[in-house]
Amino acid sequence: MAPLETSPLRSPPDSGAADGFDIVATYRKFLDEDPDMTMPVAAIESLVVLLSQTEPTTASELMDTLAKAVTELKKGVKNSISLSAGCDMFQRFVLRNIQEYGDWEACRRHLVKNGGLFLERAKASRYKIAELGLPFIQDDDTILIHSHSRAVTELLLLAARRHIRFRVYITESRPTGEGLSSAKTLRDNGIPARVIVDGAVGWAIQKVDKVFIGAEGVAESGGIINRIGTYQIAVLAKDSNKPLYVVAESHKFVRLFPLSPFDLPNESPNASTFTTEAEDDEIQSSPLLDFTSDNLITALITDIGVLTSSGVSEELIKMWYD
Amino acid sequence: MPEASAKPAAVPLGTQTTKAQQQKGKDKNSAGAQETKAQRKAEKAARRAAKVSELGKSSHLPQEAIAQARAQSQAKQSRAASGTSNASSVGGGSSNSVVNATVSSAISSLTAQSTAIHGSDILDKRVGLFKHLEITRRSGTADAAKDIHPVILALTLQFASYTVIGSSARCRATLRAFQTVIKDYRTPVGTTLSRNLTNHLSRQIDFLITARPLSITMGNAIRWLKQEISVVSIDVSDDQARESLIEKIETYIRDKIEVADRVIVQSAVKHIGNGDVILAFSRSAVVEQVFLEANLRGIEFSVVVVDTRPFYEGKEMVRRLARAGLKCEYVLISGLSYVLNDITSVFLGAHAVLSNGQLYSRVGTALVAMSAKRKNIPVIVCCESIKFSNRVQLDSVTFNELGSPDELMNISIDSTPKPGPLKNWRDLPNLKLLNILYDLTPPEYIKKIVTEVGSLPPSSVPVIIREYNSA
Repeated sequence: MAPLETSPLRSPPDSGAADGFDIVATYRKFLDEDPDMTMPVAAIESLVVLLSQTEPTTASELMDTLAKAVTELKKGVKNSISLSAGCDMFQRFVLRNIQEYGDWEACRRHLVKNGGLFLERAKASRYKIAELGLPFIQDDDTILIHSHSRAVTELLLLAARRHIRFRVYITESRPTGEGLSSAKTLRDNGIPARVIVDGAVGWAIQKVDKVFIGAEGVAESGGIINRIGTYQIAVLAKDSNKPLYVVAESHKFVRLFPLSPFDLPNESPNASTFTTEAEDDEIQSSPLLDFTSDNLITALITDIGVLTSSGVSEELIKMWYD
Repeated sequence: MPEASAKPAAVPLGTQTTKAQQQKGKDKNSAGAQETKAQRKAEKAARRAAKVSELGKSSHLPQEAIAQARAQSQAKQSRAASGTSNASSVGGGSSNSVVNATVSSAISSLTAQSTAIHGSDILDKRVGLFKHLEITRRSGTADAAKDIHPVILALTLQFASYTVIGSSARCRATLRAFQTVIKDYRTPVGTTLSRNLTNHLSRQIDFLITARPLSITMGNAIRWLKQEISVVSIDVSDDQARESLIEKIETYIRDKIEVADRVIVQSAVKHIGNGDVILAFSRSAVVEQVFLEANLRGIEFSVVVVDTRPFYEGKEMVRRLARAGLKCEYVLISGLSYVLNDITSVFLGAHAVLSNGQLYSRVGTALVAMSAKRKNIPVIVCCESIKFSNRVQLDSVTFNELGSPDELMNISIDSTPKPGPLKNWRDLPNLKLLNILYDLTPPEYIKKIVTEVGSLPPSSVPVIIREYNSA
């Protein structure tokens, strides 16, 4: 992780005055520069840069600017659930702090400084989570993971460093194929792994001791939004009585409450239509996310502690409604 | 001597207290003992007969034995009243024993059939499992104490006749009534408003309870009001105190009911999409508003209203929705499984939500929720935070409300009563009717509870109670 300078501002990549500020470009640049950064963190970094550059005269003008930038960001980035989480959280954070300061300059300095703190904490959270999740991995465990999650990978790497001996099944995770990069990372660090196709989870689940899943977003009910295939794995794990742990940072808590696995903001509209002719990008237009409800999850390992599903809604309520 | 009393006549000490025992005793005892017993029996029978004839409307006396017993007890009554001595009783002793046997069987059936002034059954017609829920219900206000405000008298009758029905409606009506009570309240000499008004209100509330038990919303509102009264400062004049209390009640109604409803509607309406078929049970004011708002927004959907006897509250819901132009289907709960195949989601209202996430609502709700869950249909509950209760309850029996069993007898589908096959239920010795008003739905059947502080899973109800209702 790149060290933060004393001034918590990253120099924004070629952006001019505030009105020429391209938030989406800034956001992408941040993501590209730092592969370790998650989407919500990059979003918040870009918003902090925006803050440092704007000259609002009133608090509501600031909130307005912020809201516009957030809408633009959400529109410009596909698959933006965790991004929404980060943005909403930042807006909330700004609103809270604005009320405390009369003078805008002092307020802005405070916000920018605290924005930086927030980023620092967000980056450190993955390590905190790994420490908290360590007791859940024991010698001789067979673990199943899905797709690619940096939080889960971090946890497994820490366990390996602490000399816990375990092995990992990884799902290929079509259509993105992200499971393969997970496998590579784990194998490079000396962890024995095996990649299986998504359809083989039913075959493998009985051989597995526990399942670790990352999350794009954690919903208000304690359920999670994650890469497609997560829901299936959760149902199989529940049926075979294998514990399923979700590993996620607290800034992924999002104000959504889907009612079913497909009840997500629409990003794969084609997947609900039927045609009598084959389409070229049929596989590519498969849905990329699904929702796993909280009754299938054993516990959530987050940087604010190991929570049950109702603990998540409690945290969310405390965060958002006061 | 005829005595009109609400309770069964007090039996003097020393006599056997149950009818069966008396009957047995009758057969065993000597003539002498039989005579005194006969006299007491006669008086009792006379009292009952008198009471029964007073309440002619509620008793059914088609049987000959009854008529016969009546005639005989009246004869006895006149004999007792004329102060005939033991001698004449002895003279009539032998015939008495025959008469007594019939009289005592008549008495037992009379007792079984007679009802208390306030309309609830005594003794045999109560269902054992729910005996702890029996209350004597009020049907008139003639015996009200002098300090009960007329607006409370009116409200009590409205509650008793189910004119004002529904958790939020009752709460709102009670608070409005209290506003009037507070306006007309004058602190008696020697005490302060903050101390005395609470007692005054408590007496009004005790009277209200005689119509129907308090709803959870009313309980929460009253608790809040009493708290507000207790912190009224000594320095403030009575006029100002009253003004401010009335103002506070107005704000409370606005915030906790009206605005809360609007927020819930905004939130819940997001779950209605084009082409949806939504199931609603009975009548809930909030759910109705959600549908009307969705209709206003131009969403194309239709509603299936499931209704139950004896109140047929769903009819009013259908009437209002249809008037707004919504496509509605109406079905009784017996037809539930038939309509469930096409349902997209279920919207339910609540009387209360308990601290363990259980939903306490109109009887039949649990059935609807369970059937929906079986078919993987999401169940959404809309309720204001004022309906949250700290209570924990594991079944529908420990706390509930009983309605009058005679309401089940009426099979009319409109306002003119039409007695059905059960109209003589009181004559049938082993038949009891149970009219229960609420039931408990376990949290696993509910997907989401929409309140004005946000949408939450049922497991998070204690959080809301802790954070928001800590008044």
